[in-house]
Amino acid sequence: MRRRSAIVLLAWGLWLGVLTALQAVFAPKLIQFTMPALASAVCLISGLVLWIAELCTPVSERARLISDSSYATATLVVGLALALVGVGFGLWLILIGAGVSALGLGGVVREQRARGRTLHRSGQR
Amino acid sequence: MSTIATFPARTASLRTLACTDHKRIASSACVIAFVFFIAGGILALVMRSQLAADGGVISQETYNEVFTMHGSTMVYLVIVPVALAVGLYFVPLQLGAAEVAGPRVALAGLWMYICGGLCMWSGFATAGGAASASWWGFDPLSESVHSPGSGMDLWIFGVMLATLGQILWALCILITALRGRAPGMTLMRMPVFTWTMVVTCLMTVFGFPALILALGLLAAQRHLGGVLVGGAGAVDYQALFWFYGHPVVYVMFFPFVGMVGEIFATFSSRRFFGYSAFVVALLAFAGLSMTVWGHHMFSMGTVSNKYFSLTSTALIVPAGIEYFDFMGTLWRGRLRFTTAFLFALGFLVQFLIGGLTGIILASPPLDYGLNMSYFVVAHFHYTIFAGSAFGLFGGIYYWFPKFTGAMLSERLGKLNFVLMVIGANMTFFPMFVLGAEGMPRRIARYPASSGWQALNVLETVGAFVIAASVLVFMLNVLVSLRHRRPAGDNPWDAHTLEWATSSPPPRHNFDALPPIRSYAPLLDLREALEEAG
Amino acid sequence: MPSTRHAYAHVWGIYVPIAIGVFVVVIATLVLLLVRGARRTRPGRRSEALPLEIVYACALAGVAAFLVWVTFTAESPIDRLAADPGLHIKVIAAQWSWRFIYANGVQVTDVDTWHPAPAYVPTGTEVEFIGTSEDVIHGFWVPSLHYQRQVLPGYTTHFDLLFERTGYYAGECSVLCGEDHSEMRFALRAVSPARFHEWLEHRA
Repeated sequence: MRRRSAIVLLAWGLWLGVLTALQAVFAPKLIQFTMPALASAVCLISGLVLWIAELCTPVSERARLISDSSYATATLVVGLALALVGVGFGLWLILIGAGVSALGLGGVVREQRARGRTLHRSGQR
Repeated sequence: MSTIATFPARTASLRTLACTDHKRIASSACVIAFVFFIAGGILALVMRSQLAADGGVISQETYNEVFTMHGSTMVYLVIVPVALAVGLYFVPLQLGAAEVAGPRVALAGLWMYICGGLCMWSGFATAGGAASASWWGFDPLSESVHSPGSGMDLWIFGVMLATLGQILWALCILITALRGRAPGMTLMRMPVFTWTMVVTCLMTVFGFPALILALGLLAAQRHLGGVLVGGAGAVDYQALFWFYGHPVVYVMFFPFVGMVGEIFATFSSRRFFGYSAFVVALLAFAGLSMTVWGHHMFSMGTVSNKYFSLTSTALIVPAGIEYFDFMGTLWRGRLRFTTAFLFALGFLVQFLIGGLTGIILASPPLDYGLNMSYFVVAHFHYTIFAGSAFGLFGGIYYWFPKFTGAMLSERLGKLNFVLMVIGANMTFFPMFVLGAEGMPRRIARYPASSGWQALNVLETVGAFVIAASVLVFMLNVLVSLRHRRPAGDNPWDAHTLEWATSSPPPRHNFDALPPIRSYAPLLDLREALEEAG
Repeated sequence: MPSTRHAYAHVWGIYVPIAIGVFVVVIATLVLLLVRGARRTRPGRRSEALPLEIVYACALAGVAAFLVWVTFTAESPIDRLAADPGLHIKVIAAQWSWRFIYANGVQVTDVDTWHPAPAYVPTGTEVEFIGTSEDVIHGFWVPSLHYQRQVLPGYTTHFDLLFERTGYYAGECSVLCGEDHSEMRFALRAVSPARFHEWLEHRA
């Protein structure tokens, strides 16, 4: 089933572009113009990418496999948060955060591989 | 319809917070947001006590921390997360989807929210106290010279984390709406609430990164210097901040518009009126919201005042269409005055006050006189509290049966509503008068000769009435969960797909879906059955 | 240049009655719909009226255009700087007080928190303020003139004010600027041009 949802992004991106262009009448400062121009451009490009993606790959009706829980994701985020806060508090915290993130990332990789094994076993790969 | 096969997960105490079910993630977020709401509300009561007593309750520096954390909590940790969380819960259901797109990304968003909130509030435990440069964090006030101490840094990183989490949620919801709909559900058959969530997510994805950038620059300025220099640096920070800061207030508005739309349709026993015009208005409104932000900077003289007052005033066109469609939904309806319906009516009336005063502020000659005064405080509390929060309570009373399986008490609900109406108007209406009289915002004291104390006392009484109404709400939830009056699948005879499954929905959301021919599939089914005889 | 007070009153006198009128119409319509809906037994089915909505949207756009026109025509004169103002005053904001410096070197700084010593200005002529800040952003706000302008560090901001009547004009800092933000007040006293020159010479 073909979906034409890219139109939402394309229409909205175009509208943002129109509103940005209107600024030209009022002699805007650079930053005032650049921000919405960038938003408009990114929205339009995303719309184009989505449109092409939809043309090439229709939505899959195959069963998706999702793990019911993911401690690894939580761990990864906590690690990234600690590392970010560490920017203001010192290298020691950045390193702790990096370590926790590595644990989390490892867990995510494990989950992906477990998913792959389950799909393989159930014959869908 | 896609199905889910889950492989066995280990049981552990933090299971709920590691669950990838969008419903669990959203519920956890809502509970956490309620805790932050209470915390932010207590800060508000402290502020109101200080102003009623005309100073002397807390020091000025402490007062600055209190209103900074009140505003920051309510925006970054309550209303925005709740708005997105309710969308995270109900958009997949309304679309007939089994799951949200990117469940682990949604879970990551939840953890960013939790980490961000803890980070911001841990500022209170530091030697210098929490951040005290308002929820905007404008430099140079927020720079290390004027705001020394780690409270400000914790605020910066906390807001960054919370905002990143929100962007992730918005991506998940948006992609679900664009790519994960059930067969038969075209874009123009998506329910009203889902459309409001789509535009909300568009604004989040394309507007919120500006805040991350602004905060990153501020953090760099605090630790390295030379990034935001002098007046130009201050203006650039504000431009970036408000490019986020205006869309964020619409993110705090549109989901509740959607809830009110669903409530009106359900309790008028007819489908939502003017759907196609409404969708166009939503997209136009959301696009405009990205180009009106300069109206927060009128009194600086550094933006094109005329452009921004033009786009800001133009907002009356889509807003007027939305109001027309709300009224059209009530027109010729068979009305049922449930608590949810009352809260939705409260939204309609009170948001209008906020919106009209917003148009007043959109005119620079008026804004020059009223900006930074209590008139603005009144304006945004009417839109966000008397408007959106009323819409939120309407949504809670509407959807509580669906996500718990139990009905809330209508009697306590109506008491909740009455107290909240009285409290909200008593607290915020006098602020329009005080602002017009020249009372600036963010002050901890004012002279006795100003004559402002009487109205401040009235407002403080109103704030405690709001607190009482929140207590009634909490009582209602506790009592209703105790008594557990079963709700069934569709206690309200509502129209959209979330009511076509059990309460609460199973892990995979749906066992079967009815045919989807419009944005009100269950109403279509009911009308077809009626016609058949 | 018309005074800011006049511009504000003019725009207020158009915007506020329209706002109140809109509010009354919406509430009245709502009450009507609710009263009738409470009694109705069969709901209506009609749920689209696109031609009507398009006409309505055009009407709203017309109202918006009118309001924008009112705003633009009121704003241009007060944003403009007079070619030949009667007086230049430097305003320097610093945590947490205001300093006024006149061309001949006379300075006025506030001494009392709630009732600061006023800086004198002449009535009947544009007074050009040249504002800057020494530290953070402050807001120069004169509520009775319905005007404020933010002053920034490293920036010089020019704005004109016209004082039509003599009297004491209280001023506040409108932008959060730190611990003593509440107490950062100033005052202006408008007197006749003759009395102003007398005062200025006396102070020199």
